[in-house]
Amino acid sequence: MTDIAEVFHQNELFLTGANGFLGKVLLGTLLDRYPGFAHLHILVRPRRGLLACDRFFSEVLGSPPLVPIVEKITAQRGKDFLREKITVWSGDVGEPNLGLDASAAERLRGRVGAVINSAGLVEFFPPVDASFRSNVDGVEHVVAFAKGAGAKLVHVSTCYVCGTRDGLVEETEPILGFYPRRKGLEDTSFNHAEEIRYVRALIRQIHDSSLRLRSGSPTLTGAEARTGVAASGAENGTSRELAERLVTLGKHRAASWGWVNTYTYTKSLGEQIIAAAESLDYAIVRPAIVESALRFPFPGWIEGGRTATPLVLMALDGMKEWPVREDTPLEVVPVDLVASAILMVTALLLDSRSERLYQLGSADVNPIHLGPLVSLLSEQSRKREYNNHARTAVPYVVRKLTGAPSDSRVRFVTAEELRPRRERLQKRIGRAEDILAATRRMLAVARLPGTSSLAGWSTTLRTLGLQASFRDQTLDQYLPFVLHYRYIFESENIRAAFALISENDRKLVPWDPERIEWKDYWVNHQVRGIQKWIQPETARNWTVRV
Amino acid sequence: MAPNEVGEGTVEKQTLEVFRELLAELGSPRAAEGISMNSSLDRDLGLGSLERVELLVRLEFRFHTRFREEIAQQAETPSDWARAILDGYKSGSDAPKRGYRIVQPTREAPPPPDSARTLIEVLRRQAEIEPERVHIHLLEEDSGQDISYRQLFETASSVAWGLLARGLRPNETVALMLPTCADFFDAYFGILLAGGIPVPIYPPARPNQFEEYVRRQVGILRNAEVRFLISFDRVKAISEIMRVSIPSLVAATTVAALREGASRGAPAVEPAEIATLQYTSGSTGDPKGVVLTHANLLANIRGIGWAVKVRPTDIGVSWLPLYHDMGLIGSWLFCLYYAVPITILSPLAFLSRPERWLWALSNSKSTLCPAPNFAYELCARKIPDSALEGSAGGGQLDLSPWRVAINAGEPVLPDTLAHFAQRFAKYGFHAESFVPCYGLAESSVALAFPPTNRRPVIDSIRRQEFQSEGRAIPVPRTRHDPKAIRFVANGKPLPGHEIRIVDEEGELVDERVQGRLFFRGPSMTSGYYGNLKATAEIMTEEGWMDSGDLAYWAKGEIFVTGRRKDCIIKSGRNIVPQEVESATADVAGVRRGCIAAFGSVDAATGTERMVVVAETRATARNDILRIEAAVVKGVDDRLGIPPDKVVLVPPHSIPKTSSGKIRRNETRILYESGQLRAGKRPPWVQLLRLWLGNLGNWTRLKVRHAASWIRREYQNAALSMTAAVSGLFVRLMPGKKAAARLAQIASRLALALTGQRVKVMGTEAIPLGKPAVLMANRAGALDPLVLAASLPAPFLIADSSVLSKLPRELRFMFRPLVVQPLQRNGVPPGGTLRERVREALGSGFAIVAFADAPPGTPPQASGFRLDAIDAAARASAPIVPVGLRGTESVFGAHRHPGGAPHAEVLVGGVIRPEVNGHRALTESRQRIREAIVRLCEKEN
Ligand SMILES: NC(=O)c1ccc[n+]([C@@H]2O[C@H](COP(=O)([O-])OP(=O)(O)OC[C@H]3O[C@@H](n4cnc5c(N)ncnc54)[C@H](OP(=O)(O)O)[C@@H]3O)[C@@H](O)[C@H]2O)c1
Repeated sequence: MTDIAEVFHQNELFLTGANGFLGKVLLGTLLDRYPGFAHLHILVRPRRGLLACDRFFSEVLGSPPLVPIVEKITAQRGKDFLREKITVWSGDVGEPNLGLDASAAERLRGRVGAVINSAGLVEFFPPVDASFRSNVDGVEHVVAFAKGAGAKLVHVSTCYVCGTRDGLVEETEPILGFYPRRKGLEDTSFNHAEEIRYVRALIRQIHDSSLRLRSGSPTLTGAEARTGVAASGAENGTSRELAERLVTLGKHRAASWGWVNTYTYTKSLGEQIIAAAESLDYAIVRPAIVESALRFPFPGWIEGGRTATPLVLMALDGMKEWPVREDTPLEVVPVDLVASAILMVTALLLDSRSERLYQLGSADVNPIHLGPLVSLLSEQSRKREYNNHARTAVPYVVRKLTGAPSDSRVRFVTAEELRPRRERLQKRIGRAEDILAATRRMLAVARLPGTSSLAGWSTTLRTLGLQASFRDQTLDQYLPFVLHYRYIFESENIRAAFALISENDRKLVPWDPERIEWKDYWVNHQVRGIQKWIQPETARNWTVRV
Repeated sequence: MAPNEVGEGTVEKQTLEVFRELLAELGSPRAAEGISMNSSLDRDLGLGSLERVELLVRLEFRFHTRFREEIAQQAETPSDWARAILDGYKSGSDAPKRGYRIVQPTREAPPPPDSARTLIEVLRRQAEIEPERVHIHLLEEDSGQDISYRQLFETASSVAWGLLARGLRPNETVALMLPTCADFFDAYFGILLAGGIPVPIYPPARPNQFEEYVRRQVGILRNAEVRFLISFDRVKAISEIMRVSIPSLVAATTVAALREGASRGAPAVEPAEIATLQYTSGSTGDPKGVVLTHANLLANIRGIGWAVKVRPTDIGVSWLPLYHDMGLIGSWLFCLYYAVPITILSPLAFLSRPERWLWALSNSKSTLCPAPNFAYELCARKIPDSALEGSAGGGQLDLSPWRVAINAGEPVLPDTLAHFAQRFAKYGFHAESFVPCYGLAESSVALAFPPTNRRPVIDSIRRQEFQSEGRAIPVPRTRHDPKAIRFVANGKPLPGHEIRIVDEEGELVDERVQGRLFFRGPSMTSGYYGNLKATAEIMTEEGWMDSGDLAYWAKGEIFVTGRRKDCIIKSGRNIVPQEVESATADVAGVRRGCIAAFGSVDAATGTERMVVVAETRATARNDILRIEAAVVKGVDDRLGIPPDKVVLVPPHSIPKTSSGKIRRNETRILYESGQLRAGKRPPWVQLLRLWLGNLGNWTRLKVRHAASWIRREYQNAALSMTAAVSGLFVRLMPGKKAAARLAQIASRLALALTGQRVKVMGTEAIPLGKPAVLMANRAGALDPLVLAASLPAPFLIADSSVLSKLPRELRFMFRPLVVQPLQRNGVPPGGTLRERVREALGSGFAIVAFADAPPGTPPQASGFRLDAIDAAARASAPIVPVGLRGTESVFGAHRHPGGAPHAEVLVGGVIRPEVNGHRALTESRQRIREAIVRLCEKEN
């Protein structure tokens, strides 16, 4: 049996990505369950004018899930406990040597037992260079750092690195040389190092060509050149185009090998860098979709508008036609189980008893299928509608405009069926706007009142159109996971790991997805959590992440 | 010789001299003697396209001039040439070039439309996401044009409206008789968008023979039941005549006429299931239109894409004719699918000046390009060095980006590969780029591909054993055997396709033994359009198709060695010898029924020459000359291609079978070895038999259609009835065991009632009446049914997800077989899979755990449940690997005419998983998977 408390008492840990959704819960679990840990180093990048240290204390320790834990622990162990046990390092995994200076690296050498790398860019389709910076270069630097410090590495990846696959994804599939369209082990067409070199060269080319465009912009007149007006305009144009080209590049590279987005493509490259690293002891942890907490720090804690949140919000908004496959399980794991698993794996790795790869899913023991899930959510939305009259107007108008059926039954449709309806909606909105504009002009000419309320209407309409197309775009990003493919992630290794830890530890860091009552979880944790912690924020900005 | 020194008379004299030399070299000294300024190149001299290229080169060399390209293919007589030479002097050589430059898109290709089910979806998607991306660089003379996806989609849409306005209805066929030009692309997709089926037919090489030529295609047009013919302007003039002989034809028209209406987006018409009819032969006699569905084409295109490892930066070039599968599917549609920009030039442009092809490759920085063997040979031999020198303005000829040089469509000659690689190495060509592959129209276009980036693998084998016994015994590397035969490796079948080599009895042959090449797979045609007889001839019961080619396996690769069916490939066309023979038979003086036409590979040009051997009693020289000329003319009239060589022999020279059939292959061997001598007896019985055989074809066709409809309806009804009724009883059964047994009996009944056969092997390995876990791959939706019907003992099902794809009645029947463990605390409803397996084993049942993957996933790529293996290990129950094959064709909608579907259930030996921890489990899984892979790959 591995005694986790003992292992953490012997080994110092180095954590990246602590500011993230997962990182916070991970940190909280460690503080709350194993306060006897030797020492914790945390890498934080300074941002928005805040120093790394300040960011850590305000954004992390001051965040809702951690405040009670911090209070409890300082009450028990004194004020200076955290300052003594935690060192915050200012750095960035995208920089060589994690952006640490030589003396810092020197001080860390030989001290750290394991590096836990939870830093990552979780955006689906970012410009490819940004994704590379966090998920590829970042991993390269973390690997170099861990090797230099003589530490082992726990890397947080994602189950969806499997890409366009259908059915059970086995944990035994070799990491190196993997690409989703691989035709078996003899197929050696994919070489991560070559791919990385190739894409880096393309990124450089794209940057160079846009530089050339900018410096050679020949249309500047003397006056413009002096004021710089046109120049900055042109620059904006090219930088938008530059970003677009980089986004497209990532999309294409990912898709041509069979990954569903740039994120999973770069995450897989990151895994392969680790698997190829010589003399590095490592474990890769692949959570599926990380969702709100089951128990810790408190049920329903969730942060950011990531993962399946947009889908939940759409359901709550009364969406009736779902481009999903009813018999597809949604592979979700609560964030606290993921944090438990990572700590468990870290301890086993330090104890030299771990496997190389751990998938963290739930559908292989306890699937929740999209059919029942969507029905459940829309039931919730009906209850909500009842309480919230203001919301009913919009779905009603949308329904009228799209010609969608008005009964409240949920329907499962294919993407093809949805497409013409979307087009029709946009067309009708356009037409209605034209009519409104014409009427307004007439009223204005005739000097009749009412122009301002008409203007209000057309703004509403336009917003409606934008919202609808935004929703469609968001939905499209999810299609691979809910319609095109059906994923089940084998999670046998973590179950085996759970059997290797002590009875007491099993209570402290539980792994029991088979016990989740999904109905209760979705209604009472997930939906409530989203309403409580996310809703206000997402209205501004739906970031789409897995 | 300076131009001004030459008078008209001298030019004529020297022109004729060049002609004579060439004819003498080609082995037609007689034609050389009779030549005059007005002899017809086709009829009197029998000069085909390739010889015309040779003429061009020689005349240019002799007169130090450059011709307009068309002259090579359009000149009718030597005097046309002479005129061209004199014109050339007057106007000076190089005409000023209009500046068309190939500009490639800066962005990489978007990801391929993997979920598209039709070509229309493919085009629509490309036009949506990259509307302005250039799709085709169409080179015309020295100018050219770019065609973007948006352009193609819009023009094709207006063509579609034009067709609909003229009354085209869904699933009707439209013939497309156009040379390589922008209209072709528009018309092809126009027809698809209008719900029709395009039937590309080769256009006449020389427009002045147009009327005569169209009449020759009547056989095809009638067989295809075409409603419209899209062609040149002149076609209208003759549509009246055609309407008489083609009853289905509504009108002959042009793309310009079809586009006249206003454009209003694409029409919303359900696309036809069939994407193309590809006629491989049939100007006269027996038309064979290969039916290719969208699914066939897309499967093939995806297969090729996988084989050549398409990259988003790839660039294509093609001069191949668009009416031919390699040009249409392998080049154009392939590039459309992968959004690879393709530079297209016409076959005539290539034939007149092969270097244009190489320059197109170089100027477009092409990475992918297919061509038949003779094209490589032509380039290696016939292009003057001067034509390869860098142009004044442009750069050097650079073939270094060319990474996939497909050589296919006719036999690949090792020498050609060597010549080409040798000559063009200095222009950056790598021998590793050669991809000698194998395909045929019946498999859409491609069937087998070698790995890319590998030098061609050449197998040297002993001639003696090969020719007498068909055994391919390799010549030891160390010894040089001048008589050895050499074949080029064609690689492995495309993913999802299978090839088997069998002997005349249909038994599999050993490695390195020549046999008949059979194949099957998603690219395979369902048969010839409206020609059940020809279809039945090449289909086997088990759904294999006879390629008509001979081949052997060696080193895991296929070596195609020759053709079993007698068919001549010339200028990318398949010519059926019977047609040539029947044309020859009409010539007075030729003995009917004593004619053999065949193709003979000419090592010098790397292509096939069409040879006609005919018996005649004539002996006088003049008569012989007359008959020879008449044969050339007769064949050219009928097929549009003159024979390369006519050999007149005395009676009884041509070998025949005892039943009087011509032995073309033996005649060919005699011809090639120069031994055509007297044979034995004259058979005309065969003709009579042929004629009788055609009677009653029509009635049989109708009856078969009706029969297959009835059978399908009956099968569906029988299946649902059996399942629904038995399902009720299954549910009423008191225990699981009884339920499982009843479901098993019902499954057998259902299969028996519907006449489905399942081949079962190795079931004795299953421990009867004892707990066991059966692990099986997923081959088709009906796997549970097929398995239930074929296993000796009843079983339960571990996971209900396999039932989700079954018809409702079957789901109803099988549902009770899914184990439901008792509700326990902390366990999800229905239990985990591990618990369900444990529960079944605990109560003494056998239980099936299918791979968790969509039906049809190969076992290598399927996920097998580790928890099921774990449960078996803990209960010390044995695991039985089961391989399923062909279950997708049970009750399949696409039944092969004449062939019954053939599902197979192959049971392997018992595997006992070790209880020894986690690692041991994953190792057991590996063994189970390997066992299933072996079962599924086993040859019967
Ligand atoms: N959320 C999911 O559903 C999910 C599912 C599977 C796997 N994962 C994986 O789990 C990990 C954490 O996910 P999350 O949901 O917690 O994401 P998150 O909330 O976006 O957090 C990501 C963290 O990584 C840090 N980071 C990114 N780039 C960095 C860089 N160049 N240098 C230093 N730090 C950097 C971020 O720091 P800043 O605060 O400075 O931006 C942030 O703290 C990721 O690796 C992700 O791939 C997540």
